[in-house]
Amino acid sequence: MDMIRLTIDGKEITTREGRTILEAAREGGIDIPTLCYHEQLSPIASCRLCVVDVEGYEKPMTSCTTPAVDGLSVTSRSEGLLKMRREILNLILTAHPLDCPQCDKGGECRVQELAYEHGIEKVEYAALREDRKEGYATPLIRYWELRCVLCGRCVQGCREVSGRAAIDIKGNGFEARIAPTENGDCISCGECLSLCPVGALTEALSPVKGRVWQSERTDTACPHCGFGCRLTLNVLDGKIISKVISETNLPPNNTSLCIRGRFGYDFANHEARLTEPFQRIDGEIKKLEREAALNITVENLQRISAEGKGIGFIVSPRATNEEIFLISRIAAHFENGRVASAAAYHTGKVASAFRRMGINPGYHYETIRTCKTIIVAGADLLINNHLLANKVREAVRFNGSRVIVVDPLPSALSGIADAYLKIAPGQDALVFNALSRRLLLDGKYDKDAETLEGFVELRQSLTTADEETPPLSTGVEAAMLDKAYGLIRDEGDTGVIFASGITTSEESLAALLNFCLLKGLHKRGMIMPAALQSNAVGAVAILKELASPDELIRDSEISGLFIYEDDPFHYLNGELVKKGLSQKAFIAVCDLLPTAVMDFAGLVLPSASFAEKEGTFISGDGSVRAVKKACSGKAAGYEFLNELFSRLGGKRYSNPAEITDEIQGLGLLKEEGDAKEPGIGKARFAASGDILPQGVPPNIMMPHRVPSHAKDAHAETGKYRLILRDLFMNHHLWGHDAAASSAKCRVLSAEFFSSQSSALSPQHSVLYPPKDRLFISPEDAALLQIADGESLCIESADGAVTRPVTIKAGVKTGVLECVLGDTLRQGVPIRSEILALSLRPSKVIAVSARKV
Amino acid sequence: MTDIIFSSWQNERFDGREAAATDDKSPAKVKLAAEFGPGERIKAFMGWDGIALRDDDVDIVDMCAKYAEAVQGESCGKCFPCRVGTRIVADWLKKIAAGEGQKEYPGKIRELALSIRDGSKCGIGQTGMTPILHALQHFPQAFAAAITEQKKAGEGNYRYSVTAPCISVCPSSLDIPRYVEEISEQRFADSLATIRQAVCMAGTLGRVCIRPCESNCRRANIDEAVSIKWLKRYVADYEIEKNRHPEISGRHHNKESKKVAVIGAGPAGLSCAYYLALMGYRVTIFEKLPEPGGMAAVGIPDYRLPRAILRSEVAIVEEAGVEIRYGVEIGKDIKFADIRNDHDAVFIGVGAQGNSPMGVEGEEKNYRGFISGVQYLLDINLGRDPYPEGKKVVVVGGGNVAIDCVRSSFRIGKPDVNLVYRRSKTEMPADPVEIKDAEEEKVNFHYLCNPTKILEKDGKVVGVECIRMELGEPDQSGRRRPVPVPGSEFVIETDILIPAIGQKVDYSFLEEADGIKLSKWKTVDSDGETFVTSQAGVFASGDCVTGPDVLVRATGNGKRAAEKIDLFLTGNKVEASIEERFRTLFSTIGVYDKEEQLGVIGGLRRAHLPMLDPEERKRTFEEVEAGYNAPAAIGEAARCLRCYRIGMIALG
Repeated sequence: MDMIRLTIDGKEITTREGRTILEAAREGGIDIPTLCYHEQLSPIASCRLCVVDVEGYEKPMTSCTTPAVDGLSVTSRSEGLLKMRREILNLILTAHPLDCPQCDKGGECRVQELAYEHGIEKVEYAALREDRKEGYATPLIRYWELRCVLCGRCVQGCREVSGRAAIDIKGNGFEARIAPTENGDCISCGECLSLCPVGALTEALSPVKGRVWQSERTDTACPHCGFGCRLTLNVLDGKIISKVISETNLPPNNTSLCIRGRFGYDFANHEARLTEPFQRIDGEIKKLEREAALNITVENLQRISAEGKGIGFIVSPRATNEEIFLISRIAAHFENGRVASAAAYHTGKVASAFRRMGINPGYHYETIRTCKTIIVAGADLLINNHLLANKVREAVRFNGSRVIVVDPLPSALSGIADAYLKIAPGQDALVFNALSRRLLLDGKYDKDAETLEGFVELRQSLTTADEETPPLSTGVEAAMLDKAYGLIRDEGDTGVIFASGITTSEESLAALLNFCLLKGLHKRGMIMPAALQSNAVGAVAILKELASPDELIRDSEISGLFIYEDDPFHYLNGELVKKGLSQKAFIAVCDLLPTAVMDFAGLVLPSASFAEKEGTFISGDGSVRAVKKACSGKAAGYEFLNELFSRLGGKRYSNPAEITDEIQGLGLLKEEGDAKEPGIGKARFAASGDILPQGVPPNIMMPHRVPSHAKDAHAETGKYRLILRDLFMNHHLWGHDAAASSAKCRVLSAEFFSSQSSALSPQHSVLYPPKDRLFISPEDAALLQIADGESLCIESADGAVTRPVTIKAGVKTGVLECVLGDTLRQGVPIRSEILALSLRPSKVIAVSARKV
Repeated sequence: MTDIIFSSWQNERFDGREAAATDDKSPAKVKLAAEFGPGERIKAFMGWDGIALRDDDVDIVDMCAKYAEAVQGESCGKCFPCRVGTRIVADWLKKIAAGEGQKEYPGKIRELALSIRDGSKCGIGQTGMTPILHALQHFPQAFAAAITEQKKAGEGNYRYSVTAPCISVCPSSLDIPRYVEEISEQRFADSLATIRQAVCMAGTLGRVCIRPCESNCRRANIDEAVSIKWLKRYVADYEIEKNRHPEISGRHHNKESKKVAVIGAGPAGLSCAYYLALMGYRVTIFEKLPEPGGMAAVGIPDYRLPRAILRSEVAIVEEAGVEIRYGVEIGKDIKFADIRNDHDAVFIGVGAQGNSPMGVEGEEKNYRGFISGVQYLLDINLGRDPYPEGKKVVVVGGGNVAIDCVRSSFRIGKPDVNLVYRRSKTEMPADPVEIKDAEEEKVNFHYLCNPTKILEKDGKVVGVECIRMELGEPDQSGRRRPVPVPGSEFVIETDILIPAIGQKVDYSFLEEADGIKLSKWKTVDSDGETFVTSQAGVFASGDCVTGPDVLVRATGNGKRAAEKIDLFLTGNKVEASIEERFRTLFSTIGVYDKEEQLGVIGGLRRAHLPMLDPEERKRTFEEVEAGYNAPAAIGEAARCLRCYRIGMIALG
């Protein structure tokens, strides 16, 4: 790109062509006042404060929209411009109350700063604006309409960043205000909230409001999904998290967060938090000192080990690397020690497939933007990894990228997809095999692929003449598959983002990765698995021999179980867990809130929330994110592990950073560049070196297999595939708000998202019952002669449940969708009985259904 | 217009009251119509470029107050100076008009109005203060008197409307700044919905519109006009690309009992039918061909307008509830009189698809290889080579049909393609962009010559004799009249000769007894404002009324005719609407000033569409131009200056 030169206020500035005058000025260190401008957004140009004069032109112009042209001479400060700015500020303050003393934004309000800088001492004009007390698009956010200056940032952010159209400027002239649109499109991501320069949008969740001078701020990492958002906790009195904010200088999410990241933190200060260890003897609860708890643990584990029995550790994929590392060391101390984590179900499967096939994991999120075509497969990014959906949208907006969505259910991106392949559940393999077959037949594949092991067999099996393209059983229209193929056929980088919808089936994963290797995406393009939990990648990196939790629970050889911040009842078949646990001689559970699994524990230990911990996560892009202690209080779980390790003869670490260093020394977390501080650096998950066994050729094609259930699932009436959503949701988010009248916790559930397609307004949707919801297509509802709200009996090989159904347009025929909810049983969240339908944690379950 | 007594239009003061004695020619710059509607005298006008007074009894203070109120009411709220500032100005003016003004108000208004003018984001604020500033400058005594005497202003009868340079010349009255802004705000579906309020063929117009709007785009005063047409195509394509079901909004179901017949599924007929269906009428279109689109289907080749696009737009019309009966020829299959009997109203939109004779020896003899332009394109568009044996092609004419004929000839494999035009390139009525494309594809252009005789052998065309022309004096159209040079005859050998010098209306579907009068140009005679023909309940518009004309006028007039048919069927007087009257008023005044100095930097050239290489594209009917992608469309839309402006009249 060509460089240009211009002068601003006498200073010569060199910048790239295509910049605006404002951008050039900021690069040159010249401050032009702005209010509506935000670096994460396209210029809005509503405030008119950034006006400048340009030599040779009569009128002042807004520097945020005017291109920097070579040779310009710009003046940003003059009497005339100052007068214009003061006039504008006068007008703003005419329509803005001076309630600064009680405003949340007091002290960090942009209008306050501007008025101060420009010496506005009194408001010149008067005009009365009536407070209509209009509701906002979501009950999580309060709109103070009189404080609103109508800068338009929230509206722009809603459209541009979140891809929604939940709010808009309604009304004309002085009566204009921000109002929810009719489509009820709000997902409560709070993008608008973080962009508001004044106190017009405030979160309506926290009863206490901490202002800039009252709270301490700590930058840390989000504990919810594996995208790895960085956020800033506002903490009052060293204890209470009053607000979560996100700032522009914290990549990869910058100002953005999702509903869970921004609002889902009240568990940290919850009254039900466990504070002391306790023992359960014959149903009686006995409180213990930590010392006693340690003794009991050591004694039991050593006894079991001495008996020659196994000891299982189940660690949450939301624990820090340091905690996971300690657990791995503790487990290694015992001859029959094994470690499991729910990370095994998705990230673990991906890692082993990558290892087998010689694919390097870890892509910068910025890579998404460089892809000409982005395939999003089996990943509902609205429910998990919302920011990943934003990155895809960004690529569409700024790079003109095309999107292909492969999913049986409409998802966050299916609405903007150029091709939406609405496959039958579990049939992804057929789609990717069909695409691979066409690439092979047209000779449009990466020729280097021919040298890879397994190529000849793959070509042979895919190009045999009797295969239909597209196979009828995929349920995908031929024209849509043609369109998708047209988007990936030619030159230009293709990126693939996938999640548990793919990893739920071995065939799907193999077919997808074979397609990637055929396209050469491991060399140019992107193969990006979404990470479901905040440290799933870390767990998989550190735990070399990672078992799945159900494996350890079933294994009768394992007699002792230590469960760390996890609740298997949350994602596994309850009967299976109960049966397994009842066979264990000793069960210890360490968690911060009561969980269902604690009922089976002989020993319960308190743990800490993410806000009380020090340590690291590894996010989906392989970066190390720093988890910083923001609240006082002990990192009880970590300290217990540290003490336990030393009791067993291991090292006693003086602080978690020491462990971080040790992990790094082992090459498990690899730093890149000069970034030393975790969280800022671009450290990579050391995948290739550590995971790939020596001597294995870099890339291997997997043998082509047709899914076992490659028949049309719907061929027989009453046969369905049940898709479970929210299977790996953070169990801390669930149902802890004991007061049923307050729906605030429940708004964090995916039910909220799915409500957008129903007729309910956003205000209603948070009041959904916290039970799981079952959806059926209108076509199938007609077939089964079932009406909205009537009960459906669904039966699988492993069990049966009866649930009322909701008819929802967009659900594919032959598919039942279940958004998992929970119920509170004596203050403890119990996951739905739907899990009884499968003995394995599965996203897709084959069921039959009939009206009760 | 000489009765204007005062004008400050475009900052040129004319005061007839003082100058009357010395100068009887009106130098007033503004061209203000005398009447708004029949019997409605326009006493004054306030607008983007100033004030014009016809009567001196207009209370300038009151009119300013009402104008400011209108500006505040139209302010979109998206910039601070206009949103808040115009409210303050309006409040002060209102107080003065109510006899509650204070001495310092005029000075303060002036100060604030200047800030609003220079600081606002769009045309509403930038021009909305102009007449008020003019009033304060030229009528200070009126304000002073109102304030010192605390007298209430006399309330006048005002009407106002919003326009913009682009809107004012759009024959379909599209709200262009709005749909463009919606694109810049990434509201692509909303943008398409805005377009569909005015036209139902966004994808077609987004490809082939002759775009009068772009010639009236104020952005051209600082760099280049906004690419309004391609933006329209972007949102139309967006709906298809994103696999969305077309959204039809504003549909009513209250008038289902009334039936309307539409003759011809061309742009005028489709448009008329679509809007009638939205109003709730039962509409049936009768189309002679097996294919919808009329001239848009017949006369526009696939490489400019893919068939799939046209069909998808017709599907939208059907989605709105219109029934289309193909292959039904009126006069042959059904009598016009029967159609009239079966329906409550009839709309004629048969277009002009008949061939105009060249007046050349041999043209009536039906030689093989002599094919009219429209027939030639129709055959090609239906997938046939009109004359496979013919290799050399000569097309006569300079309009878009002629250009389409030559460019299509390459695409059906004709190697040698010629165009004969009697004037020079500068006078050619075809779209200059298309002429350039045809040149790139290597059509042989023969300017300044005219056919005189068809040469034949065994009943087949073998050549055409032409005569050289030179340009003489300008004719009625303003173009220089071509005059033959005696003795300059020469021969171009050819197998195919295609006259494409213009089409005429084929009115053979009518019988004398139907009583539909024709104009002296042998087009259907219908009123320019009401679209009423000589028969009650029969309306007509499109090319069959105007003669061959542009698509965007056919769609616009089709919709307007639908509104008139609604008036007729609901028992109202069929007359021009208020908006139509404003449109006429504004077009006389002129909404765009090519010479205006905007005083700001441009520096953002328009985004161009990627095109296929000429050598490659001339052999295929694939669409020549690829559309914008999202960043290009958003960037292009952001170039719009949103030149809305408000014009207000005082009536009395």
